[in-house]
Amino acid sequence: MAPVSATQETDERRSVVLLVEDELLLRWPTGEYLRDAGYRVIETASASEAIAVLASGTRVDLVFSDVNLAEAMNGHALASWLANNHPRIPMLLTSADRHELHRIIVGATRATLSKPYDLSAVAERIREMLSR
Amino acid sequence: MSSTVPAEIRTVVVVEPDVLARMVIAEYLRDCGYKVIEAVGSTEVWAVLDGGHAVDVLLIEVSLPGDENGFELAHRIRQTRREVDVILTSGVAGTVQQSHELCEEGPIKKPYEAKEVEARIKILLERRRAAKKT
Repeated sequence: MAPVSATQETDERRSVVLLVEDELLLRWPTGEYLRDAGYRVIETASASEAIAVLASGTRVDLVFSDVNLAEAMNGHALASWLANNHPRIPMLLTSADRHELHRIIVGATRATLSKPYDLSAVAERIREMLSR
Repeated sequence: MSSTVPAEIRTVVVVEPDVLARMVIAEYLRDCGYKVIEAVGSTEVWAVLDGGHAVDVLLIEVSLPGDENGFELAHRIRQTRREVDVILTSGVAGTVQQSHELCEEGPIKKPYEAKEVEARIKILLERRRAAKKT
């Protein structure tokens, strides 16, 4: 394997997390925590906003999304869209509804986390997923 | 990008329903040293303000979804939160005069330069700082 250059290390430290959460009072502290953990975080409030960011060509390394979103398109639909359009981008899905989480097919690029979550657990899970 | 980091960390709420515009200005302001809260509409703004979070400046897009547009939001904030400065942004011509009556420094026309927004924020914060000293 080729040695990792300093530039690549810098890029790795600033992996981009696309956060999808319709509750601002949860989205904001989660975004701040992940920024403090070294990630670049793009905050979106809906699946349609997340798709707009992805479709704009903005680099995204991981999507962290709530399943239950206020608009018509929920986290399940966003996961399907991502699988079809950006199958290599890993996705971490969260919900307070265990039934909803059990509906999700996890795999190499998809994982779940139940709500409420510790922010440290989110950062740890994201770190694991990005190191695969 | 501004080379001057604010003397103390100030909080700016960016109220912008266009995610791509919000993403760019929020990241620019964070890189300048501000704490940035991203809101998509007035309901989220009131959740922040009513939650007791300290806010210094609100950057408000005139066209907002929901019951309260940017003008109405700015008007309510002017009436109830005198400690918070407001900057309105708009891509719509003809909103200029109305904006002048509601915000401290006149509206910023879109498309705007991020550094223009940051300069405007800095002017407002300096003005507050000077007023406190006198």
